[in-house]
Amino acid sequence: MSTRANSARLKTRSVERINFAVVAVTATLFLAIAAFVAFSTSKMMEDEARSTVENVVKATVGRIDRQMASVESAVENSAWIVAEHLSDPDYMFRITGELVQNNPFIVGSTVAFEPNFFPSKGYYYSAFSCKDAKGGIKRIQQGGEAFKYHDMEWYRIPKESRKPSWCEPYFDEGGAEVMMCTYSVPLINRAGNVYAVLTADISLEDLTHHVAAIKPYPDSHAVLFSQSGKQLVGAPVDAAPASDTVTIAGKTSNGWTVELVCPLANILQGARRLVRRIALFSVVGLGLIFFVSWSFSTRLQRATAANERLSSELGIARNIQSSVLKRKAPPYLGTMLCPAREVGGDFYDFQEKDGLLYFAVGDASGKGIPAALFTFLACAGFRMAADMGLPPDEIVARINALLCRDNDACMFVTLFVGRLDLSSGRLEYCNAGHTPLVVVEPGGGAEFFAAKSNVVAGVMDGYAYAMQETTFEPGTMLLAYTDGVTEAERTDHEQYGNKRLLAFASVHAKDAPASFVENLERDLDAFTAGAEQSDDITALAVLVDGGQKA
Amino acid sequence: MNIDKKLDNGCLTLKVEGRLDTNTSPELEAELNFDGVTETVFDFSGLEYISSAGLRVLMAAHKAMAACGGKMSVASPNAIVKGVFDITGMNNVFNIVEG
Repeated sequence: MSTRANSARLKTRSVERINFAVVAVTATLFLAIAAFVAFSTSKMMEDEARSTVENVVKATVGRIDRQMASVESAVENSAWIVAEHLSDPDYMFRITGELVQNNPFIVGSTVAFEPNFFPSKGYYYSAFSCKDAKGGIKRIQQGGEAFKYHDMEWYRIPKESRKPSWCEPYFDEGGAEVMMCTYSVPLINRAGNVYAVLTADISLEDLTHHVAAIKPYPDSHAVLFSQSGKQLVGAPVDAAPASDTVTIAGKTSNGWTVELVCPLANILQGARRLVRRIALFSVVGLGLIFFVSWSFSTRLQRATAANERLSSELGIARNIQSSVLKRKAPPYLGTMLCPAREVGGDFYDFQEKDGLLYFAVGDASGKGIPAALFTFLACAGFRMAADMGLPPDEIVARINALLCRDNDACMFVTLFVGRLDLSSGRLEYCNAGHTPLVVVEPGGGAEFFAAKSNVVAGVMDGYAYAMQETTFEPGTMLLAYTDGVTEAERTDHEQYGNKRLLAFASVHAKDAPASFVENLERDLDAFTAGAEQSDDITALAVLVDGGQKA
Repeated sequence: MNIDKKLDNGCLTLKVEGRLDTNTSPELEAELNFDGVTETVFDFSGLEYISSAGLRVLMAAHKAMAACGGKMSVASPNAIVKGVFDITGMNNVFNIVEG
C-alpha cells in the first residue's frame, strides 16, 4: 500500500520534472532561434548596408572625378590657343573668358606669364576672367606689386613640377566667399621652358553641398578630405567611435578622399526591432507554456492525490479481504487466492468443528470491488452457517437467502460447499453452479468429480438445493477451484483448460496440499508467461485422511 | 461483440454475436431498455462465449421481465454457452429455446 502511494508521488514528481524539461527545452529553443535570427539578420543588414554605402561612395567619387576631368580637359584644350596667340597679349582675356563662359564649373580663369614676358605689359601679366554678378564676364589684369603671383602655389608648383596639378582647396576670402580649388597647367615653349601657367578656379560649393547631403541613414554623415588631408566637408571625423560605425572610404583621381560614416544603430534598426519582437513573443509564449503546464500539473497532482487516496483505501480493503480469507491452514489443507485486481470476487473459507472440515470455494459474478462486496456477504453467510453445524445444502440455502435479499444488481455467486469427515473420508457437498471438484487418487490418477448442479446462489430465492455425499479412500486429495484456473489465458488466448489441470494433478498427486497449490500457482504462471491475469484465481486442496496425520 | 437490436410489437430481440464477458457485458446492459417491452429474446446463435458477467446481465433482464409480468427467453445457444447455463443451474431459471 505504502509503496503504491510512494510510486504515485514519484509519478507526480517525474511529471513535474517533465514539465520543467519541456519549458526549459522550449525556452532554450526560443533563445537559440532569437539569437540566430538576431545574428543572421544583423549580419545580413550590415552586409547590405555596407554595399549600399559602398555604392553611394563610388557614385560620389565618380561625380567628383567627372567634374574634375571636365575642368582638366577644358583647361588643357585651351593651352595651345595661348601658344597660337602669344603675339596678342589682350587675346589672353578672350581665352580665359571663354573658359569661364563655356564651362559651368569654372568660376574664374587666368593665364599668368613669366616676368616681363610681354615687355609692353610690364613685369607681371595675368589675364584673369571671372563671372560677374549679372552673369557677364569680368576681365582683370591681376598681376602687380599687390599680387606677386610668381611665388604663389598655384603658379610655382606646376612650374617646378612641369606637370598640371590641382592645388589645395582654399577659402576665397573677399571674393566669392566659397571654397575654391584651382587647376594649373604649365605652358612650355619649344625650348622646354615654362613661360606661363594657365589656371581654372572652380567653386566647391555645389560639390560640398552634394557631399554633405549624402545621407543613406538618418545619422550617417559624409566627410571629404583634400589630397593633403584637409577636411572640406563634414563634422570632425572622431565624433563617432569607429566600433559603432560602418565607414567606407573612396579616393578620387585627384587624390581626395570621400568617407561615409554610418552608425551601426541606424543600420541595424530593423534587425533590432525584429529581435525585440521575437523576444517579446518568446516571453509571452514561454509564459503561456509555463502556465499551461503548471495548470496541467496542478490538475494532475489533484487527480493523483485522489487516485492515491482511492488506492490506499483499496489497499486497506485488500488487507481486510486477505486477512479474512488467508488464514493459516492446517497441514491437510492448501489454499491459494490471486485476485486479478486489488480485491477479488473469489473467496474460500474453511472451518474445523467436531472432527468435520467445513469448506467453501466461491466465485462472484464480475470482478473488483462490486464482486468483493458481494463475496463478503457470501463468506459471512458461510461462517455463520458452519458455526451452527449445518449441512452443506442448508449452508448454501442460507447464503442464497442472504444474497437474494434486495439484490438489485442481479449479482450471484457460484459455490462449492463441502463437509468432510476427516477420519472416515465421507464428504457431504452441495454444488451451486460451481466448477466440479478434481479428485486426485493416491496412486496418481486424477479426474473430475461429477456432481448434481444446482442454481447459482443469489438468483432464485427459496430454491431447494440438493446435497450429495460420497466416501473417498484415505490419501485422496480433493481440489476445489474457480474457473480462473482453467480459463487462465496466454497472450495467444489459449486457455489452461481441463486437460492441463488433470495432467498437473496426476503428476503432483504425492505433493502435500500446501505445496500442491503452490506448484499449481507456479504452473499457471509458467503457462500464462506474463499475460495479464483476466480473472481471479482460487484453489483449495484437502487431503482426505490428513486429519489423522495432523 | 456485436449487438443487433430489434423492437417489434412489444417484443425486444437482441442478437448477440462474439464474446459476452467482463469487458463487453456493460455494452449489452446499456442496450437494455424495457419501456413498453413485454417479451425479450436473446438470440445467441452467434454467441461464442459467456462469462459470469454476461449471466448477470441476463439475470437483470430476467428480473425486469418478471417484474412487469413479461417473458424472457434465450434462443439457440451453442454447446459452450449451454454448458455454462447447465453448470450454473441457469437452465432452471431461463427459458432456453434450442435452435
